[in-house]
Amino acid sequence: MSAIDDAAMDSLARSFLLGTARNPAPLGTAFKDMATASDSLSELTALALLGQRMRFRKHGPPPAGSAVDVVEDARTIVPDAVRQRMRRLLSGKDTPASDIAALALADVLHRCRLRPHPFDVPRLAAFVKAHGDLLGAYAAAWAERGQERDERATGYFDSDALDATNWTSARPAARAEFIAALRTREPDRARELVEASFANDAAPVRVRMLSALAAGLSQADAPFLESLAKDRAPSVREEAQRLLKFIPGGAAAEGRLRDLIERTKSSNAGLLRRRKALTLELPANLQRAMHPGAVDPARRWAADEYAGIGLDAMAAAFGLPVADMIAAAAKDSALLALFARQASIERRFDVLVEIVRDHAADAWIDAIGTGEVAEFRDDATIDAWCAAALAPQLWPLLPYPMVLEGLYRFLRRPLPEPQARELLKSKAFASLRDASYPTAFLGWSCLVIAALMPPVLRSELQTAFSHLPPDETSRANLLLDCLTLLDPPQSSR
Amino acid sequence: MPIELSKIEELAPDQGSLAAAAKLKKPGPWSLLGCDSAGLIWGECQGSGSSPYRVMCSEADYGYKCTCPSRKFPCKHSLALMWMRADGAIPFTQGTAPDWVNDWLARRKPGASGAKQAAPADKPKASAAQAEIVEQPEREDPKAAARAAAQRERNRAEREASILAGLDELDTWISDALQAGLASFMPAAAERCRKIVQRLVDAKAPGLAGLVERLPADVFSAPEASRTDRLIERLATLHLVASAYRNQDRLPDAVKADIRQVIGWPVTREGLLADTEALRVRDRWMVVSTVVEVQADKLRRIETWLSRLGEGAAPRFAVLIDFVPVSLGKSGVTYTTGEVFEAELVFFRSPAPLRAVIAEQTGPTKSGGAWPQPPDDVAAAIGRLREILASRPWAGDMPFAARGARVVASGPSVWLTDAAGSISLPVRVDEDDAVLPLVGLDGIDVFGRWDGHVLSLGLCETPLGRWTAP
Repeated sequence: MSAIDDAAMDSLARSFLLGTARNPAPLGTAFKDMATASDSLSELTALALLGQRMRFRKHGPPPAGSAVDVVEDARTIVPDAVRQRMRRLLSGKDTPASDIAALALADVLHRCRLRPHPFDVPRLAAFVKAHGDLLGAYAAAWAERGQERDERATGYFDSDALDATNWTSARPAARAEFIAALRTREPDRARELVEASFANDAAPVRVRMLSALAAGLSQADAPFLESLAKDRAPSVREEAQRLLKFIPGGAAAEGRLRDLIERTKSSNAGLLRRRKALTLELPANLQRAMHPGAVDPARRWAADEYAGIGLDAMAAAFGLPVADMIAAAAKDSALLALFARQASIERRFDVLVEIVRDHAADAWIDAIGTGEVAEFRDDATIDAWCAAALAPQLWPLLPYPMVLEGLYRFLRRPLPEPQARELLKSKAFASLRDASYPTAFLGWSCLVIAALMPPVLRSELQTAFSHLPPDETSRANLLLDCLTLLDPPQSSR
Repeated sequence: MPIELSKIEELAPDQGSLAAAAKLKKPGPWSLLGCDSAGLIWGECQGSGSSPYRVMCSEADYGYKCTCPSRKFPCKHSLALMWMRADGAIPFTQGTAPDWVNDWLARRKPGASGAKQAAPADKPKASAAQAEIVEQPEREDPKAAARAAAQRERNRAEREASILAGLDELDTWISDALQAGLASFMPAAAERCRKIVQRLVDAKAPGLAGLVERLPADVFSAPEASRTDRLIERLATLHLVASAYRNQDRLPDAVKADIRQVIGWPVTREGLLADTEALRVRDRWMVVSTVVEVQADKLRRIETWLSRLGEGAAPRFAVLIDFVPVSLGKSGVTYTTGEVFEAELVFFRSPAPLRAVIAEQTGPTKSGGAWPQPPDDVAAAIGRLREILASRPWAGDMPFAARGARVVASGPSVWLTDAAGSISLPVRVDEDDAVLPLVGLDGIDVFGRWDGHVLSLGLCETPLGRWTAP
């Protein structure tokens, strides 16, 4: 049997395609060289031969233009030992990629310059999509896959490689990080760079850039922020208005100061020693907290509404030194919340510690606000803030897990060791073992505490978890295992 | 072989089942916990019913059974039993397996723990469709046996005639399609195929009916430009099968046996195990791919592809095929890619033996080491595909194993090439894009299933470690 040429096969296939009734199959032509008489071949035999010939087709090189489009990633791949645990922790159908475990893992990967194993990236697609910015260039490229090329970042630079000439070509998260870092050194230069590139960015990126300017706000920033009152995106306008409130001495801050004074009732209290007492008059439609441990809406309202007015300005308006102003507000949780937030903004940790230790141990809840982006970008400041704001031994109850999660989202790292150690020894932590602790929150609380625990105390926390129901602590223990493998305690490194 | 927690996790149908099992991981609900030296464990767990559920498990291959009505497989009771055994915190009483455990064991596939003691009553799993056991009465009246044999012969002859008639109808159907033109066939392919499928089922040729049934989906899964070629190939294969069946008496025994299986003649598991001429290979086998597909007949088809680890002549690969009703949920896959076990496999007769059943598993299933590097490069591996196709022209999925391969991408398409990039095979890219991380890696040792058009990767040993299909 000899070879059948391509042209004959094409004409045969064409005949089959169009129908042999009108286009008879050219059997004689196609199989003229075959050993058997061509006229004995039926259409079906020809079909079988044609089909078999197709199955033996040659395989050539890949099509022209095929390329190995590999994203270089200098980060180290996570150890094999943690891979399966990560998949278990992150790929379950009941585990949203935005939950605290995913965030804590993403943060530790970012901090330790690690990246997920490339083979795990498709299996952790939701996690990678949610936290691609923190997981290295490969995962970032994967997360952005499928987007239009012109929407895609053109490069995957590490933040330390960015400068004023190339920062606009980086990913939004890297750009924000660059601006925030520059802001601490050269506030005006950082604002000028943002201002120059502002018109070319999409609204979410503009909001992110504005947020990066939050540290070190001054009167010099006011013109730029006020110019954004006509920005086409409401989210940008809101962020600009929010920042304006934090500019000391600004018009926005002065108006709010007047409103604060009008709402605050000043009276005298005490029998033996007369002293001032300040009480904030709350809006009538503001609801009070229904459950202990939940965030009080009044406190949140006061802090959100008046934060940005300087502590000194408020004290001067009330005619009191700052320390006396705080003492005068001792019975008013809303005012204390405002002062705690403002002390945190102004980095006046001596004031914050006074509020926390003497008046409101849970004032840290108000101090962090609702922002998910860490305002403090250096570890030393975070340590100082934690030392001032967190006094777990004074907590009457363990805060609800959503509140604790807010703390992690504010810090974006574990607690300093002293505060973590204090938490483990606190009555609040021991209350996890009480029958009265809401079962629905137990697993979540354990997970958040695991995320907050520094490496050196993770094994101690696991020991403490062993006294709790295993099905409630299984995920927290899994997170602790992952964190320990990725970021072991210093002594075991 | 101790039970591993990781394996329990893999078996669990969902996280909720694991959580529920964790609550049963205490002695309270268990009125009985036992084990024997052959690796069987069993227990009685008090559930919501009046009598406790009877739970049993084989440590060797993680087979399990529970009498609870749960539709999850394994249920929380089975998971809890395995979990307690893995933990070792709660003691199991050593003893002889109760009757209900032996009954279960007797119904299981051979090769499981304790199979030898239950050998006389060995039966395959109910899921092993097309390999169902025919019960053999121990003592029969000779006359009745003769009558039964004659009846079987009559039935067989009737079925042969029926199949031949069905093949004639199939040829007529293909001829009609060719005369009318395949261009007009395609828009109504599903409807046209449905009619001939019904006729082939009536003609007692279920295997061939299945091939026709899959034809529309197969054709429309191809890129638009190559659908006509795909249709021609499939119709050609159908005619080839029909023609080979008609001429089976002129074919070698292995080809004849193979073509009869393709048409739909069942080969019972018992018959296969009793066949002294069937190819038997005792060796260590690594699971290199698992495939689960839901068929139109509401059966879940579970393929476990095995690579032979020892030296020896062909076959180097085998595939175990089980069928489980879809209504049983996610169940049936007892092997994970990368696992290794030692067993004797019996191959169905074929000129290119591939499908097999486990005659006897002689060792526990373990997580194996590295998959040995295949002897063939990409070009030689493609040559082996051609050899299979030459000896078995109607072959469906074929094993493909090559060393030193590369994966390249071209737009959304992915290709497997040799190191020089001179020869390539298209690679299946599923929705989860799991193969994309392989792009750009050099020196990959790859196992995949080649269906004639696209390579479905199952396992790859790469410089970054092992990659397995999800």
